[in-house]
Amino acid sequence: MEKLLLPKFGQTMEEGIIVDWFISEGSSFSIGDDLYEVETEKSNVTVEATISGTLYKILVSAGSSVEIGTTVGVVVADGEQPNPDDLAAFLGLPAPARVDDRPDVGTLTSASGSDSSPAVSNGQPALELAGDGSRIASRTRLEGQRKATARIVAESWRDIPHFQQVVLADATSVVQERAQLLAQVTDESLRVSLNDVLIDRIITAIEEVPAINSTYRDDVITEYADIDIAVAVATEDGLLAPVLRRSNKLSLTERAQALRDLARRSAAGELLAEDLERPTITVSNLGMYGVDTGFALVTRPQAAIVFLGRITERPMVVKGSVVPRQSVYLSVSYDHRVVDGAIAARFLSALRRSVETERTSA
Amino acid sequence: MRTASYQRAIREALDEEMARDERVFLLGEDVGAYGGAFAVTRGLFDKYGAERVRDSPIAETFIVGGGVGAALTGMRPVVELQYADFISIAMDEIYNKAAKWRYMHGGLFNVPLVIRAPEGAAGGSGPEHSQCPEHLLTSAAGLYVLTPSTPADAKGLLKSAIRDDNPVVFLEHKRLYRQRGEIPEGDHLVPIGEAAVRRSGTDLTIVAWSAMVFEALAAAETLAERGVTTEVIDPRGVRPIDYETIAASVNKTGRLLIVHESPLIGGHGAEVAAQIAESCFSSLRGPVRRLGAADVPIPQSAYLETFVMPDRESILKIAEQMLDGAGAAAAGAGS
Amino acid sequence: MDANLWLDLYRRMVLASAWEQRLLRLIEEGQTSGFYHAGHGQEAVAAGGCSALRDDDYLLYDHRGLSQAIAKGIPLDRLFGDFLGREIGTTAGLGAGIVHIAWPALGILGQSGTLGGAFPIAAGAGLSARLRGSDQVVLCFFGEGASNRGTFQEAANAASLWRLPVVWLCENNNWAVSVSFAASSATPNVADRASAYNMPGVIVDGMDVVAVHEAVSAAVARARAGDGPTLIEAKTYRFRGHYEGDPQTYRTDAEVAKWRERDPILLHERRLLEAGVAESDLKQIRAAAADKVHAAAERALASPKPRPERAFKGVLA
Repeated sequence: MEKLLLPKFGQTMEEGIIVDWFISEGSSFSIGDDLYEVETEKSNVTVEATISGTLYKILVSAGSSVEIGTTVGVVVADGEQPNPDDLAAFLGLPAPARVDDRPDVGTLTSASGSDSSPAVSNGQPALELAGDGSRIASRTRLEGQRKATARIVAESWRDIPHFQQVVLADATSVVQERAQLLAQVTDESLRVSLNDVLIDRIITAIEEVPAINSTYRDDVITEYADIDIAVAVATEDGLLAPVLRRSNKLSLTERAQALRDLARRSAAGELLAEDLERPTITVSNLGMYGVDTGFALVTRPQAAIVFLGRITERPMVVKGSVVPRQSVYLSVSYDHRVVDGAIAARFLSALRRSVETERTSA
Repeated sequence: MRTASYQRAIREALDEEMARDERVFLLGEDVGAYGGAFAVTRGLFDKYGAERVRDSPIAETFIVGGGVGAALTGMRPVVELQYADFISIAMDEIYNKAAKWRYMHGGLFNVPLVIRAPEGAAGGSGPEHSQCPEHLLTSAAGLYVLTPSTPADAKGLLKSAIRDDNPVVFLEHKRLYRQRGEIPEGDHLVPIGEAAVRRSGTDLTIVAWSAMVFEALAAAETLAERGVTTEVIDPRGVRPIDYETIAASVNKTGRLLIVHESPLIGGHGAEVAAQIAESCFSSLRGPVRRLGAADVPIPQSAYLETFVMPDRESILKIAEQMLDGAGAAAAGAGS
Repeated sequence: MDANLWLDLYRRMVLASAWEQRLLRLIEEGQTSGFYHAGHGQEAVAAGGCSALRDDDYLLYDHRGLSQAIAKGIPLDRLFGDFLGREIGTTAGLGAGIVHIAWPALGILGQSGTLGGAFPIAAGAGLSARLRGSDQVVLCFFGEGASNRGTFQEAANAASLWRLPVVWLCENNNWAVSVSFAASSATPNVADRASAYNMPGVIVDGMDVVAVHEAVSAAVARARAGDGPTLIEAKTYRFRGHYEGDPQTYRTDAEVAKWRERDPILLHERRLLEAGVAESDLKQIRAAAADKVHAAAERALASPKPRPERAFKGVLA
């Protein structure tokens, strides 16, 4: 058995993210064949095989970040069939527990396991049975993007002491501004959405309370001069949050165009690594799904996330009377290590003001 | 003992070493039939021929780098840069090839190369033909850097340099070429790494190099008239520096004034000052002082040039400050 | 066909290739720093060139792989030792790796860490041979990118002026890290510059080891006879990046693939087989190379690391 180790490229590399494996477990390869692609802080590099053999096991799958020198895979001689105990010993690990003994965990190694699947008399295809007899509709191994996302979300939940503040804001001026901008424009590419206007208002508020635009890492809070805003986009691969860089330096229409481009590339799977890295704050708008408001998780190492619900008519009290008004719930979640209640309140207040302030385009 | 000029002393050293060892040869611009820009190699072409006294194209990286190549492969070249200022043209060859080749290659080679060059201000040669650039090589591990001040030292040090298996930058001062002095007869060698005590004294130590040695000696004479005895030490070079001799002197006098024609800022005097401050702190009666060229390029005008260099007057002035007016002008006239 | 020569050329290339493969594995294992410029693809220039030399001829090698030094006969365990930073290395533990390995007994004079530093040194070594009345020759390898340095101008001029015994052997693989020769040089070929120095300029197929050998042999003979230097430009290609980890964004996979069709070792294999050499003989040569490399690696891995004091030795003679 031989190990495939993550090489150190250049003098400063300390870790890398496996982007993609080019061969699968069980395939044999020769010296010089492309094995996998790794993303380093500088670039993406294709790693070639320095030995020949059969790839017995992938230990680090795509999407994972590991340190240089980590064993990313195990190679055996062509035709060799080691058993898991040998593998564990080779890697210096304790022998693996027998997972199929435990009734509530399915065998995760393959969907076509040793479970029996009795035919169903109504002609439907037989479903797989888990060890405890429950019928399995599907089984998905998290890999790549989804696995990375899951890991980050879990870490955010685990490490960040969250708190949340919510306010209901009058969205009339947002709706009006958008209508006005639409009326002025004939070119499709210059169209602006409600979300674009809301983001514009959010940026104004961040500029007023810049402490929000920070990250927290190793006891250090870093406040940024530019607002690199991650905007959540739903795709087939789940929620992605491409980053609109230096959004504070762009005009509303420039931002709208850039966001549209990011959304298109997200859907097409054409985002580059740099499109996803280092946002200073996130905005998530699930209003199109009819959600009023919610508690969004801050994505580490950012300090805050702004969660927007749907803009809809709601009863609001204006000068003593109950009137229907276009309104939107503004919910902001924070990392309590970075932001205290007072700063949070200031920001929420600035945010509400920004949303409610009328902006007539001159 | 015989009297001869510094220029002649260098020529003699070259002649004697070339006669003694056929591996020694000269390479430089105009060193052949012309006899060198400063007439140092005059006559050697006639005696040793064009192969061994070789005119080079104007190609400093080749002069030095080629010297390295020849030194690596069994020869003992003495190459010449027409002006010491041209060290910067061939800096990679000097600082990184000549100086480091032995170390980098695990000690497998020696680089018995001597690089000669005339340095110093000489009445209007301008900013790129008047420098004393030895300070640029203060940190050149693997290199010897020598700056003889007298004819005897010029001869003795050059012969030692040629016989040494290490690369040497040998800087001759232009103003000193005419200077005459006593040279011992016979195979006169001056060991590398020993400072010369040019004058003994107990009140003040002046460390000076090359042409500044004579300025220091002149200032010492004046101070002597006032009852101050000055020890003048000539380290003879910038790498290696004989700190033992300097420290012994400073421990005796308690006062150190360092003088060189190289720039004050970043000059090798700063290195000496720092080392002596560390090792002789308890002996020092006051801060170590330094004099060097002003922080400007050397003016082309021969007249203005004199104002940017140290000289006996400026040395005297600082010395008086250091001596707290003892034996010098009365305190009231001290400003 | 000269069977002995052809097989010797094959042997040298295969050995260099096997050595490099083993080194790449050592790099992956983290046993040596990844600071390496792979020479895969350029084995023919090294083997063809160095096979034209005597043991006492001088070699200034360059940073592209170690096939030049290997072709000249440097002991492989010493070479591994240098990369691993062990006492068995040619630099006795200094860890010279890609840059400063040397072997005076075979005239391997070391390498300048800065590109172009070799040119004046090579000319100086040629001058030295001349002055000593020796018929030794200097072979100086360099890449097309380095030929733009001023040091080339000075050294080539002096060497031609004095008809020094230097062979300037340029490996033109078109890419100086990420910039092509066309994008950095005023002439389309390096060899075009030869006439500026009144020396012959020869262009040779760098993937054809026999062609390289013939060209260099002719130049060496010329130099030995006192007729002066030659500039040989071998058109070649590196299959791997400039350095390990080079994302190679500057060239297309198609370009690399096209050149790989002319892999110098495979080309020469085909030639040998067509000339009637048995496949089993070639296999034997490859096996012998693998064994040699393996043994050398084991010896080097068993050699100790130097003590810290090693860092402070050898500055002065």
